[in-house]
Amino acid sequence: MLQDRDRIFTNLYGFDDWGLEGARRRGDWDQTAWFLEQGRAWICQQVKESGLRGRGGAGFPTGLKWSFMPPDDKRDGRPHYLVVNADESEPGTCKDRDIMRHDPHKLVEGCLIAGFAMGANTAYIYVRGEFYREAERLQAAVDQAYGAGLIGKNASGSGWDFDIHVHRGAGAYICGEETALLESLEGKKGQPRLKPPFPANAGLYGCPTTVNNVESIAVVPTILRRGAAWFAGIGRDARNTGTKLFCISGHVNTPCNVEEAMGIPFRELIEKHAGGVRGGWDNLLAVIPGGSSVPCLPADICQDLPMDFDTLAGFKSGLGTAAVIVMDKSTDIVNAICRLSKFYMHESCGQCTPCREGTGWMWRVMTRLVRGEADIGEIDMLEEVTYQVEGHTICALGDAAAWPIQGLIRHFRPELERRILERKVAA
Amino acid sequence: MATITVDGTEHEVDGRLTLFQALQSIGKEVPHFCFHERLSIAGNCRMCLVEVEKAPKPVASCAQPILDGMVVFTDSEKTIKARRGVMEFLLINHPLDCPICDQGGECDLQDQAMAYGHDRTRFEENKRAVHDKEMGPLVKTIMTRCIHCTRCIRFAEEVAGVEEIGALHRGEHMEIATYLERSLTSELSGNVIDLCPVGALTSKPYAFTARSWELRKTESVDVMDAVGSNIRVDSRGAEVMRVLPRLNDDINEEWISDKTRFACDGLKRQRLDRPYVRRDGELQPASWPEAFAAIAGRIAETGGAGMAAIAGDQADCEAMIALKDLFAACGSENIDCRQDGAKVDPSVRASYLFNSGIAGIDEADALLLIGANPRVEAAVLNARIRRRWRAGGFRIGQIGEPADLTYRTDRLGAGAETLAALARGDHGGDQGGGHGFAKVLEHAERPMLIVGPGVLAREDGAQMLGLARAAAERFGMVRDGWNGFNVLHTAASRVGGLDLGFAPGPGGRDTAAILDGAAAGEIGLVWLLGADEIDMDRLGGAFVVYQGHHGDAGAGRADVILPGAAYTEKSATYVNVEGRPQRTALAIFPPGDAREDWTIVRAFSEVAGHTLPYDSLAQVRARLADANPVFEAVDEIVPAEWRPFGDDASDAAPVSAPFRSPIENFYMTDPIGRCSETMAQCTQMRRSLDAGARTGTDG
Amino acid sequence: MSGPSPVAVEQPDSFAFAGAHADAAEKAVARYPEGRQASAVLPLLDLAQRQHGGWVPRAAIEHIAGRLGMAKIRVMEVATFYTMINLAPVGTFHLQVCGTTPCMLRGAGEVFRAIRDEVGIGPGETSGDGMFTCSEVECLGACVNAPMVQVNDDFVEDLSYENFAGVLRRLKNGGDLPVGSLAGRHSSEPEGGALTLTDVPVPVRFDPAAVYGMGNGSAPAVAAGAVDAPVRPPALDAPRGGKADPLTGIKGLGPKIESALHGIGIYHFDQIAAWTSGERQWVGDALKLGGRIERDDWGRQAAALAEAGEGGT
Repeated sequence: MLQDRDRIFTNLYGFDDWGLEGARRRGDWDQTAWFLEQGRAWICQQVKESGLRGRGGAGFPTGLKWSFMPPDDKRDGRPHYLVVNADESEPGTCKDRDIMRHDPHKLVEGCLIAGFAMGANTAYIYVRGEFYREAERLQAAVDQAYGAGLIGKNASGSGWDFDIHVHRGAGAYICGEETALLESLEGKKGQPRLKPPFPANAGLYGCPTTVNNVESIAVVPTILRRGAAWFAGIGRDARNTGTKLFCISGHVNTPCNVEEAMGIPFRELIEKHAGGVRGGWDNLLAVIPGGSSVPCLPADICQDLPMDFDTLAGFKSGLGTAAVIVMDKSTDIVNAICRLSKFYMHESCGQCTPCREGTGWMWRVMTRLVRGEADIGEIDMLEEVTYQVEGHTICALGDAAAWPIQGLIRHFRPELERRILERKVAA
Repeated sequence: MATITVDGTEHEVDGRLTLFQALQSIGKEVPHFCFHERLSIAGNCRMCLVEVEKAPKPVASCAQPILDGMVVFTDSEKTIKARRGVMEFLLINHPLDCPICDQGGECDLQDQAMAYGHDRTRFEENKRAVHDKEMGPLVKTIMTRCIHCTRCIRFAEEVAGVEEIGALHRGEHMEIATYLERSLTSELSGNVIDLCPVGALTSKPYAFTARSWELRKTESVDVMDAVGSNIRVDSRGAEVMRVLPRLNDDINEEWISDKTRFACDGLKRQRLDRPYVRRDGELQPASWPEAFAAIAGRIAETGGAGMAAIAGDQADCEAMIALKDLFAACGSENIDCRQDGAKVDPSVRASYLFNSGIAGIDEADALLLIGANPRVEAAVLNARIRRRWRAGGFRIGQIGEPADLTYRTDRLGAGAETLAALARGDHGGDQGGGHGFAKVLEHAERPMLIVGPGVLAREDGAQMLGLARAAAERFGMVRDGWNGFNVLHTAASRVGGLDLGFAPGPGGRDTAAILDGAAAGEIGLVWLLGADEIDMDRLGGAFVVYQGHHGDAGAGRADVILPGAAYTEKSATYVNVEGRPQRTALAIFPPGDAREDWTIVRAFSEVAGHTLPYDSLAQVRARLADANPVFEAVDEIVPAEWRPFGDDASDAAPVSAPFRSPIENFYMTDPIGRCSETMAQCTQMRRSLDAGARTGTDG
Repeated sequence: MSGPSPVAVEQPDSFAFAGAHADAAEKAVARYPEGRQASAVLPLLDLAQRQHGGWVPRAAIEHIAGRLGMAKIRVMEVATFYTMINLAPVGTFHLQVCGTTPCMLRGAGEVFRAIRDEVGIGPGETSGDGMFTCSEVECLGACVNAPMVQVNDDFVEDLSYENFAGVLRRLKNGGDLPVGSLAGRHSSEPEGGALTLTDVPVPVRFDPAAVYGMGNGSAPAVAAGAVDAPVRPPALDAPRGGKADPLTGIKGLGPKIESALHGIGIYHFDQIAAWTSGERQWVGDALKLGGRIERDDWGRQAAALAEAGEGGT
């Protein structure tokens, strides 16, 4: 188990002062300018060496992403932007919320360092609209940072000018997709863009832009203060490093958020931190290990399952946002997944055909499967439909809508068949 | 160039193309709905997915840049499967109402479903139903059929320049609509009907009147303005059912204006289908010989000097040359094809042409609008100006009344003073940005100007024309390989009439002098060849022959009516604003006793004792070519020589009124439009929207 | 089921920002670069909604369009796309019940039942007195405090039938909305008290010399490549049970490499799965494999194969 001394978010639960004074006490804003003095390339290199992978779900190496921004000698006069994705909406996920309301200065300081590393003088933090109080808190932290000269003109005495704006969304999961977020930030519907061009070439207002998750940005100051090797030394291997905020929800005795080492075995995670499965380990039915978009895994796989990107991908699931949704044996697993299908239908932006039409179709078949109102053959048909959606859409929402159903059919087909047969017998 | 491998064969393709375009260029048809080459790329229908080696997922070829060495499979199992999947998704919520759908038979979804559709559905759920949306008198909506390709949205915003269509809500509830279901305020709105790949947006006036396979399709040319848009006239029996655009990249591309498309119902109303002779103050039906006799009798009284002819805006060249020859034979030089009194110089062709050509707009890098409102005077041409403007590096200066032209302009001033200052190179006295704009023109490599029809028709038109020429010369608009001096007409007959010399000969009278002469009793006979837009009260006691197809102002004033043919009822030559002779084709026969116009003149010439020397269309056309060789080069432009024109010596004080467009109501500029119920509805719609905008009660 | 939100039939004639909302609108527009004012459309719609009692009238849409230089249809598109924009009046208390799976698993249904019993309305309905509107919304991002309801701007968490019925009764009686956990939790820590962050040391002041071996100003040497030093992995003298795993089952590992691995005492998937990054580095160097071990992710492949019982031991 990770020791408290290796935890980054030391005010995760908000027992301490969220404000600047508390943040400084916790080590934030300590010689920030020194990092900027080392230059853009140095910061990117440290982040690369730390092995940090994006905490928003896709797990793309953060340092590598930053290095896609035009370097200083290739700038063409367009401003660069850092956009922080605080549109935390993936079902099961509630970690960025804690960062914004309890440790916002980690994010604000991270914005300055990351923004500098990508040559940006401006950051927009796109906070989901429902997080009204969190956005208020974050804005207060930004105001404190301006007041203390930490950001703004000559931020932290570094010579770098840096502005941070907090922008609230208004209710659309799709805006968590980075190009949809940019569209939304530009004042349009949140409909994902075609790629290429990628944001690093043409992002916000057509300018070079990098979009990062809140947690990815907020861990950076600590990584730099303790050294990349410290972060890289946590975790099972060089591709799955560092600490990670886990959100443990569902049928555990004490749901909670907790920062743990990447790769912590599943059972250890929930038993040490969340009081174990409701009714005991043997009462576990299935787990959605990384937010609603990743396929569920049945109990028998889970015991020693290391919770990291590559292990979970190996099991055709994913770490995603590390939002662990635990389901015990009382769960109507078909209904639980069906509710996710409804979620994706509701959140589909409607732009491209497979997602607009497919999400509704999948949900409707799922609602029948919950009741067993289908033919056995429709299970295969539904699976085919999921593959007809997956990989054919503009953005990953189509994939995300398909995977939970694929996971259900992969691991719980007998349950689906049982309901259909029982209904037929009853009829 | 780049090399790509398509289905196992290597091809050299232009590396700047998208994959979709490259595949098309090598003859690989890729199914698609949302892609349209004249609109921005949306990539939303996903029908054009193709398998690309090394790509983890099939790629939307419409949005994929070419990469050298790309290996593409257009007919692999993966590609076909992806398309079949997309097609199934498109169809699950699409109604099975093809038998009652006006798009039936010319529907992209129908066609592509033949290739990629399943023969039965696996969709057991209820289909989505969507409320229809009001979009005005032209566009009928059946929104349940919509496949959300967003072509209509992109057209409205990008081409038409009216951001009025959008997609409301999201996911499967996404619906195409206008703001508060208002009508589109575009002169090009009907094009969304052609763009809609399914039957969601169809033609309201045409609704349920015919099936596409019942129609006879005749390729022709539009005469509702001077652009010469290429059209297809679809007819059934003796009725024109609809007018559609025909592709011509140099002229209208694939757009037509709403007047071009929808005024055709006016062809069925108020038609002159037999000759009339005024007896005892009343127009009475007559036979051709009676009508001719009446005219011949009058000519005998007036003599050559006492007779005159005015050609209207839709007169064709064959009729005009015949009438010109007849009048010459009678000894009259009093002919004019400029019923609005435009002061262009008939002897200098460059003075009345859109010299750069319509496609020349694409090449230009600065534009000066002199009293022109192309949005209503030449709507399709205006779309090209807008496109050029959107591409950037194209400042537009405007002199005249303020107007929403769908692009941003630098308004330099209201009228003659501004033009004079600019022409002098004296920018000091200019208001708001004039100085800057002179610099823009100076620095432009291919600057152009457009003189509007309202300016030419002014009393000081010749003087303004001279100033425009001076400005063109000052700013280098005329140079080797480039002539940016452009005149915009609204009359389809105008350039052809001037080219063949339907203008006063030596000592002859122009339109104004004819009217003066008639009022003064010096002109005893006026032959109106479809001329309805003159002040009929000024014809005094003259004997008026009206030759035309509609019972409009001219027929009302006539002493003899000779029923002619509308543009859909004859094979006739029109020269468009660029100087490009084009020919209409006979789609249906003229009604009743009406005849093609040149044959009427030819027949009368015998009665008048001056038999014209041509008996066939070929012979008339030979005569046209004889009058001016430009008529030989059908569909082509013969560039005009640059010579001095316009009045640049006048000391007269110019008219102080601002330059303004002669078009008050876009929808009703000619007898056909004025008889069209659809155009009347459009007029009504626009007036009520304008009234709403003025009072602000509905926002 | 969820459909587009309704649009009010009765609409006010005009709208303009006033008072604090006008100031806030001014500030919101100023956050975006010149010419990019459309970015302020969501902030302005939100402000309009707050000023107008919880919903956005048509006049406000037109006002905002004019203010930001946007077409009305574009603002309307935005207003209908985002779920938080209401185009018709809502109750004084907008009960937005999260119905997505994490909340559903922990009893969102009970919350709906409490609303039905106490207020008599279901999703999409407003109480006759205009006090409550109930909506089912998608995941609100408070999943470890499920089930939860957003009431106007605040989250009420760790709900049960009883405690939320109590909240509703309190609101009906003019009481204040209790905010946050109703189960006595401070925030997202486990119920009963935090199990971590109980022993956080006082952080040492950052010292570049200590961490990076250099002081202020001197550019650090950038270390490239692996984090760990190469080290030989533990070897077996012979395969366990005399039978080696079919290592060629790993993609990118052929018979030649397999025999080389046998040569350094590697016979089983679990051995490969257990390699540290330093050990992978060593093997890669020793067998001249370049970056193949990392690229093909032998560790993960081997772990999966070992788990799947391919090893047979």
